[in-house]
Amino acid sequence: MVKTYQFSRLGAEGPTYEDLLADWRNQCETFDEDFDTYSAIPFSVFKEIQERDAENTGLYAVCHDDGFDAVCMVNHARIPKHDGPVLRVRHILLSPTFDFGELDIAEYGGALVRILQGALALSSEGKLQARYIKLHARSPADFPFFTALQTALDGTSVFESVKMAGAWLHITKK
Amino acid sequence: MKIEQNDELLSAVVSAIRNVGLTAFKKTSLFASNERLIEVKKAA
Repeated sequence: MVKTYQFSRLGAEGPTYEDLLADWRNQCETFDEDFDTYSAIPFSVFKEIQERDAENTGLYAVCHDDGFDAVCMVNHARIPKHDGPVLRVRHILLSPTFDFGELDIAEYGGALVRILQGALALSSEGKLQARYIKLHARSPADFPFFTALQTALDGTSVFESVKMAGAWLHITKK
Repeated sequence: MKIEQNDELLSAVVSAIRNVGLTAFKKTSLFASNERLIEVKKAA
């Protein structure tokens, strides 16, 4: 059966942050991993974001009928050197199944593409409209992949340009 | 919001993962277990 994916803000009107925690705890148990140890560091950041719950900043997740594949923070702001608002995607985290499992490359690619498409959709309508999207590379270990991502995405017909600058992947939409 | 599959983007992202290799990709901060390992190294 083909899965239907959603990119949803975690909160009162849809799936909640607690739903994601419960699902990922179950996923960890499937791999005999301790969720509390696994999640302590990134989830301290997510908890802070969730508690702040600003209109322009929130937690978004890639989810489907069976659970959650990824979570990230989305922030919409006017920042220097841009002639319009920017949608920033930070703290991208794939689920324990992607972490501990040995999945096909296409499955990992699919999870990232859904985040990207979610950001594109958010930036195309409503209060989070933006021509510019930025993805944040948190660690030096991210740079080789983000550089490869820049090269691959810059060649697609979807975007006007994709460039790395510092720890950010800058995407300009058409 | 519902997410439709975009084959062009999927092909590009899969290509990026192949270019760095799955092992290097799984060492990125997209995976929580690696962040844990980084913190353990810092503490040591």
